[in-house]
Formats: sequence, C-alpha cells, structure tokens
Amino acid sequence: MSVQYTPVIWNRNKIFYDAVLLIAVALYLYIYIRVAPGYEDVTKPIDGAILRMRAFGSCAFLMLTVILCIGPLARLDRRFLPLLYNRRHFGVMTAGIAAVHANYVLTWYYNFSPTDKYVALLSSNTNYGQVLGFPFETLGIAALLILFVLAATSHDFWLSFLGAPIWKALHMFIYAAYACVVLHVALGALQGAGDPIFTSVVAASVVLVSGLHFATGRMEARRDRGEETAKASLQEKGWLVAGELDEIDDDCAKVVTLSDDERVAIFKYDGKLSAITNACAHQNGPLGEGKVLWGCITCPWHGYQYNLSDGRAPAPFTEKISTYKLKLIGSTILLDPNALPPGTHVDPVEIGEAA
Amino acid sequence: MSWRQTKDAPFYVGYLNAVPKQLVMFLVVFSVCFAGGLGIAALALSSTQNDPGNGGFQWGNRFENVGVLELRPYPVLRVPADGETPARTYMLAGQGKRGAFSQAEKNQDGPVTLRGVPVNRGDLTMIQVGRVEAVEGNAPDFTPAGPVPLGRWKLTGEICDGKCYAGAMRPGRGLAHKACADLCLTGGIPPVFVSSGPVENRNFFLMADQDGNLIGDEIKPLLALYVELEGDVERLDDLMVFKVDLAKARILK
Amino acid sequence: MQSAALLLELGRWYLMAGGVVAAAFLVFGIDRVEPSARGSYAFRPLLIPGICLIWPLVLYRWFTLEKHGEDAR
Ligand code: HEM
Ligand code: FES
Repeated sequence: MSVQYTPVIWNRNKIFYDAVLLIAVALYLYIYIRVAPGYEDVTKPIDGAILRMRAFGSCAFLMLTVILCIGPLARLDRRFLPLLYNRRHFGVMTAGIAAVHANYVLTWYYNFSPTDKYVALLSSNTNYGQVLGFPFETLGIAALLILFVLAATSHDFWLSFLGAPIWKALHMFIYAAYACVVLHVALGALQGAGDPIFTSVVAASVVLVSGLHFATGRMEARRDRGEETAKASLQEKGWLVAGELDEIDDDCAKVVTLSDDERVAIFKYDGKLSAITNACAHQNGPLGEGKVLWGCITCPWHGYQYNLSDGRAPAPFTEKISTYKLKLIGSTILLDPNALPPGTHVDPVEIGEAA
Repeated sequence: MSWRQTKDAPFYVGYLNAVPKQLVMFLVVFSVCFAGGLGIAALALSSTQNDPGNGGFQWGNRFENVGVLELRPYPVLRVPADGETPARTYMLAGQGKRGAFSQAEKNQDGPVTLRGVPVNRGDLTMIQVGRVEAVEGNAPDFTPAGPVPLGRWKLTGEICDGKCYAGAMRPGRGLAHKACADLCLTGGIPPVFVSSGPVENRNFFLMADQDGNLIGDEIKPLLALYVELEGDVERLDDLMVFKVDLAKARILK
Repeated sequence: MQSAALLLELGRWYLMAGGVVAAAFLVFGIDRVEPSARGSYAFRPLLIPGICLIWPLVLYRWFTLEKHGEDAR
C-alpha cells in the first residue's frame, strides 16, 4: 500500500495469528526437547545439542510444509484465506527456526576442531558424486539461504521497489527451498537405521504439498475450460454480452473472461454496476472474488481497496487499476472489452427501473 | 463456471478487527488442530528416535596408567600385564576433534604416566588424553609384545571415527554423521571399523593401510557407508588392528 | 579446504559490498526512487539484511527506477 512504510502494521488479527504460531512452535519444541525424551527407548540419552538440532530442523520442515499448503487450500476453500493474510510472518519465523537448527549443527558437529567451523562445514564432506554419502548439508545451506532472502524481502517495500514480476519470481524460490530441504532430509537423516515415523512424515509432507498443488491446478484448469470467453453482442457492435443482472449478488461481482490472461470483474452495488480488471495491483489477487465494503472493492487476499468508479485506491493510497465501460440493455449486461488506462473514471451504470 | 462470491458468504479482511462469526469458529478449530498436530508430531518424532547405544564419556572413572606410547600407526598406549590383568592396548585421541599424535611423538623414549578420560562403548575404549608425563627414575622394564597375526579377512561394516562412535557424540555414526566423522579423521582421530561379523569375538578394529601406515584421504568416500573391506587382522594385546587394502574396498549400500 | 576458505572469503566480501550498498541506498537512493519511503525511517533498518543479500538486484532496480521513473514498476 502506498502510504508511508512502517516496520510492521500491527492489528489484532496479525497479533492473534502470530500468537497462535508462536504457541504452536513453542509447544512443538517443548514436547520434542522436554517431554518426549521421557518416552524414548534409549540406553543413554541422545546428546542435548543433537536433540535440539533435530527439534528445530524438523519444526522448520513442518512449518515450511504448512506454508506451502496454505496457498492451494485457500484456492480450494475460501475459509482458509485468513491464513494467507499474514503468511509472511510465518515465513520469517520459519527462517529463524531453521537458522537455529543450522547453528546447532555448526556448534556441535563442526565444533571442537582445529578447523574453522564454517570451513569445516563446506570442506568436510565433498563426495558430491555419491548419492549415499552425498553432502546433504549443502542442500540445507541452499535452503537456508533462500529462506533468508525471502524473509528479508517480505516487507511490502520490496514488492513495490522490485516490481511485482521480479518479486514474485524471487518468492517462487520457496519451492526450490522446499525441494532442497526434502533432499536434505532424504539424503541425510532418513539414511539412518530405518526410522519409519520420520520417513512417513516426510513422505506425507511431499504427498500433501504436491497433491494440493495438483488438485488446485486441475481445478483452475477445469474452471478455465468451463469458462466461456464472453461472446460478441449481436445487436451492439463492439460490445460483449457479459451476463444477466440476476447472476450477480449485491455488493458482489461476476468475473468475465476476455482472454486467457484478461478477466473483468463486474460489480453490482447500490443499484449500480461498475467493471474493473480482476487483477489486484498488490499481488494479482482475484478482485472479483472480493466484496464491496464502504463503497470500495475489497480484495479477498490482503484487503486492498479500490473505488468502483475509477479503479483508484482511496487516499492516501495511490494504486490504480484498469476500468471498463458497461451498458445495460434490458437485464443484459454489455461490456466494452477495451480496457481503459488505470484510474480512468467511468460513470457507473444505473440499474434503475430496468431490473 | 468460476467460483462466485455471494452476499451471505463470510468475508475476511485482515485489518478489520471484526472477523465474521462463521469464520471465527473455523479458525479456532484450525488453530487448535494446527498446534495440537504439531504437538503430536513432536511426540511421535522425538520419542521414536533411534537408540544411540550405551557409549559415552566415563567421567566418573578417570583413566590413569603407566605404559609405553607407540604409533601403530595411530597413537596407542601399551600397558603391561599386572597380576591377574593381562597386558592392554588403548587407542588414544586428543581433546575435541584432535588426535594424540603430538603427545605420542614427544614421549617415545620411555614409559609414561597417562591421565585422561575413557570414552567407552562395550569393548571399544578410546582414551581422551589429558596429561602425559614421563615416568621419572626407576621405570619398570617393559617391552610390549609384538602384533599377533590373525590372517586375512574380508569384513563388512562401517568405518567410523573412533571417538564419536565410542560415545563422544550420541549418536556418532551413520550418514547423518558422515561429515562430522570426516572432520574427526582430518583432525587425527583414529578410524575404527565396526564389523557386522566378529573376529575372535571382537567387532571393533583400529584401521591402518595394508602396510600398517596411516590412511590418507582415500578413506573419505567410504566413511559411514556399508562397505566390504579386505585385509590382514592383527591383535595387539587386546586391540584388533585391521590393515586394509582400500583399493579393494566395495561399497555395498 | 582452500576452496572452502575462498568461498567463505568471497561470501564475506559479497556481504560487505552489500553493507556499502545498503548504506548508500538507505541514505540517498530510497528517497529518490520510493516515494512511499519519504519521511519513514523506522522501517529502514529492516531492509539492511535484504539489501546485503541481493544488492546486485537492488542496484539494478535503483538504476532502472532512476532512469525510467514510475514506468519501470
Ligand atoms: C546451514 C544449513 C544446514 C545445515 C548445515 C544442516 C545440517 C543438518 C545435519 C547435519 C542434519 C543431520 C542431523 C542428524 O540427524 O543427526 C540435519 C538434519 C535435518 N535438517 Fe538440516 N541443516 C541445514 C539447514 C536446514 C534447513 C533450512 C532445514 C529446514 C527448513 C533443515 C531441516 C532438517 C531436518 C528436518 C533434519 C532431520 C532432523 C531429524 O533427524 O529429526 N535443515 N541437518
Ligand atoms: S493481492 Fe494482496 S490485496 Fe489484493
């Protein structure tokens, strides 16, 4: 949002979100480190540093799994959208937990030696040609670096400064990080004397993450196929038939597909109709799945708002998106498919007695 | 047909404090499942970790013995028989991931008193050397016995670093521990072969190359893997030494 | 061993260069290319780790934004 930047814009929901997150993570670590060893079947306890290292490593892995599931879950079921809202704090916390894991590794396995810790980390095992015995630590380093970069560029400043395409491309690396972590674990910890529970947890994570992405991908593809491109109107040259008035609920929108990457959201509110592009200026959220609140279109993802008549964010914000012209014939809505420059004022169509 | 927002559907806007009622319940249930799920996962993952065995530092049982330091090829302490107890040979390591070469090289001339902490797992003992002092005055006259050859063997098992495996780290073996073992060997800790089949009832072998010299970096790719090695086995008092021909090593798994 | 030490040395130089870029950008650049940052200072230290990590990208964006203004966004 183009208002003055602050470190974090706190609100009650974010505090609640972070509190739940912190409690869950603390619970995980506490049980792993303090409670569970009481139930371990061991001759002598596992080294404290190794226990904590495993606790933080597996915690970061599970957190990363959940982060990657939130996106597709929110597409499949809109009730998960609140989890998306503050996901960046989730990511930052994951990077922090992973860093603690790495630090335990450094100060235990790579400590107590005449060689410098960091040199030892990079040079101890260089059998990159082996699958078994592969230096899986390097995969962990790669994942950790990615998590650091993503956490460090999560502030809204970066989205605006880098521009949406670069920022999004950068943040797609989260998948590379996940892949690195899965390999890090598969080639490392899972190679020990069979640990069926940890193996199944990792397998379940991979199945869940890829399954959800696959399901969402198919759902969107089906939707795209089922969605007809709007047809040209027979009576009015240059206009498209966008639909019927009664298809749209009050304060809601209908999304009309013009082409593969151009969609228009037609909103009905206060007995009027307005059309704007479906793509939010923030992160391309689907505006047509939002609602009208206090006379503004409100994005379902992070709540950015736009005026209905000109696609401009209300002051002091400065985002603008494209608008479209509409016309009403009887109860049929017609749409001019030519996008107007972002922020162009268009008089809303009065539904009036036509409905 | 695309998903369509409706008038009655709950609509969440993060920065508005009022969360729709239908969502509050859903989110509370989700939060509880999330935290509870993590808790259960922690219990399941932590309580089922593999047993690292009974190896460990014997802090309460300090080591102090008079003997002769030898390089065979790694530093060992030869302790003479004493009444009922037969002669013994102990493997030595320094503090942390360091070997005990410098102490052994400095004290080649005569018997020494060696103090340290034993790291012990079953009949594998590694002494972490603390102080080494030459024995003053009338040192007992003691010539350690030579190695007893036990023939040529083909053994399968894992090459570990003798200190971590003995219990300096728990767990101190396996692929997750490979880089650590590598670093230990670089620092001069003796490599130990943990055989899956025994020779004269013993499963732990101090390693040397086929001529009885120190092993170089060629051992690194084999560390922590399940391997088959071939070579001559010798016994030094109670310590087994495996003089392997690494060129013939085979990775089994 | 040498290559590991060299890699770490390179990493150190990279981060130090990042520190220089961060200082320059946060003191001079950010006000020129990011209108919403004008007058906001509390959040700037938050950007330092990010700039240190991806400073080549930061320099690239800084120059394109200087040259093409808002159109480059
Ligand atoms: C500098 C980076 C890293 C290093 C050097 C490193 C090193 C290690 C090592 C040596 C182990 C083996 C531990 C053992 O079982 O004894 C391990 C396990 C593990 N690591 Fe990492 N790691 C790094 C980064 C990461 C990251 C970023 C993640 C996840 C986000 C991660 C997740 C895990 C997990 C889940 C395990 C298995 C723990 C268990 O045995 O229960 N690691 N790591
Ligand atoms: S995508 Fe973030 S508010 Fe629309």
